[in-house]
Amino acid sequence: MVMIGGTCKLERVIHVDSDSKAADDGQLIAQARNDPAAFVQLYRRHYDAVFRYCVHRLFERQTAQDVTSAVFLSVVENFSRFRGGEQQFRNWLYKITTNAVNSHLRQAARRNVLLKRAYEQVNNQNSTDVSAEKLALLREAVLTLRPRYQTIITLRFFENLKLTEIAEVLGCGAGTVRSQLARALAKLRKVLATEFTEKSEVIENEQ
Amino acid sequence: MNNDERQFEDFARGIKFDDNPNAEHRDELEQDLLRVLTKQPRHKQHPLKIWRIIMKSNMTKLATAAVIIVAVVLTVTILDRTVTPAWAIEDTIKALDQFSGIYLSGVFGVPIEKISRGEDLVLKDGENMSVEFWMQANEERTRSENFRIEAGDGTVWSVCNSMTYKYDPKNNTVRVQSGRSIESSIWPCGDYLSKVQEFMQDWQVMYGKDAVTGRDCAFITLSNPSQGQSWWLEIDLETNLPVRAKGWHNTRREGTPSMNFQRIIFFEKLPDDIFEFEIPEGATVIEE
Repeated sequence: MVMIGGTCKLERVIHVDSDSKAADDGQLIAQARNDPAAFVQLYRRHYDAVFRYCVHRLFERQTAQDVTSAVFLSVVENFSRFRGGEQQFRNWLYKITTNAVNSHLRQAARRNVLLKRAYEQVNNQNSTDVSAEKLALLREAVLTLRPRYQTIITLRFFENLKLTEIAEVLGCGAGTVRSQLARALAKLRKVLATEFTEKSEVIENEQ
Repeated sequence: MNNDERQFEDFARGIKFDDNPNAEHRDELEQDLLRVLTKQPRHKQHPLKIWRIIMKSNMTKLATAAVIIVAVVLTVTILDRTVTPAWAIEDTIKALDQFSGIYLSGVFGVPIEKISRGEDLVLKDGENMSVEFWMQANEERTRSENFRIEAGDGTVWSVCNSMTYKYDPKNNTVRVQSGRSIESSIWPCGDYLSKVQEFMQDWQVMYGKDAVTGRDCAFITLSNPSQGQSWWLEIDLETNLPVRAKGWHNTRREGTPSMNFQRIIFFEKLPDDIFEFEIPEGATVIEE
């Protein structure tokens, strides 16, 4: 289990393969074009981040693994067309992962299964584990959003990307991301109304 | 951060995700990727009863175009010898003689009026398709012997041991034919270079660094007015071999290239298993 939390910002935990630290991504990216070993090193460096993003979007480890596999196979297939350095590569990975996740979610049957499981978890919640309850609520709430809104919420709050970085991943302007983030949060506010209200009351009381 | 954002962050804070990566899955996927990257041996297929069909196709033309582009690059290196002494053509030819396998990957955006429609590959005007080639020369190095092409739409054609396999992903069918019904009818060996010199006109050479690797390269532009074509070529100055190439169906290199190879790699010999064809699960095999 990994706790995502923090005093100011949600914390993103990234494991970097120790062998991969030697060379920077820019150099690795260049080498990886002709050298499978270099590509594997690049893969090791980014696997964890891609997997976590998938988990944060899909809320299921097994599904996240499947999508992660599809993402990296797609990376292999399209790597020759990638141009750019380390930052661009990371954003490119997020873009591919976002497309893969959204594609998965768009298949209504799968989405319905996820929703059903989310509802079951909420309704069968006998645990006193506040975090587990919150996770179930979060899952229920986020999965009701359009995939694009889900993407923005996850990238912003769980992957800690800046609005400009999200804009690059989504291929739009930062202003668009900002307005869509606001709309996504407004929808979440409705679903999570009780939670938000309680929080607000606590904050007000503390003040 | 506005109030909604702060409230959501407060809500999400402390949520536990079981998001620790699974090392076993990571290792398995790594092996899968390595297999894809290195084209590990595929399953052997049962011999099939077939008969020969000779056909001309777009794939064949594309393959020939791919080799021509490489050949043109090498010809340019000959012509440039007097201009840039450091560009040792002897080394290029010597290096070239060590290679009998070529891998190319890139994107084709072939104007429909330039290449007639074939029964197997149809590119609509303005449509792009990623394509990868693997070609192994025959012993005389006059043409390709084994050949494999994988297109972005899932189409796979492979020639191996004088058998041709054509996979159509839309219909999930594999057509099996005897003989080589796909080949590159030329090979960029030294003997061929002199024959293609006449292709080139209006060529210019500039020097710079590869945008990706940062290696010293020569960038060459040239055209062939009689065919209404032009090219942009990049040669690695350390290996003297072409590494990237683009081609246009106009003499001014205008618009999107109709051929854009971003990887050209030469091999002493490509592994035979690259050309072996594995019939996809559930595919209908049609013997022709």
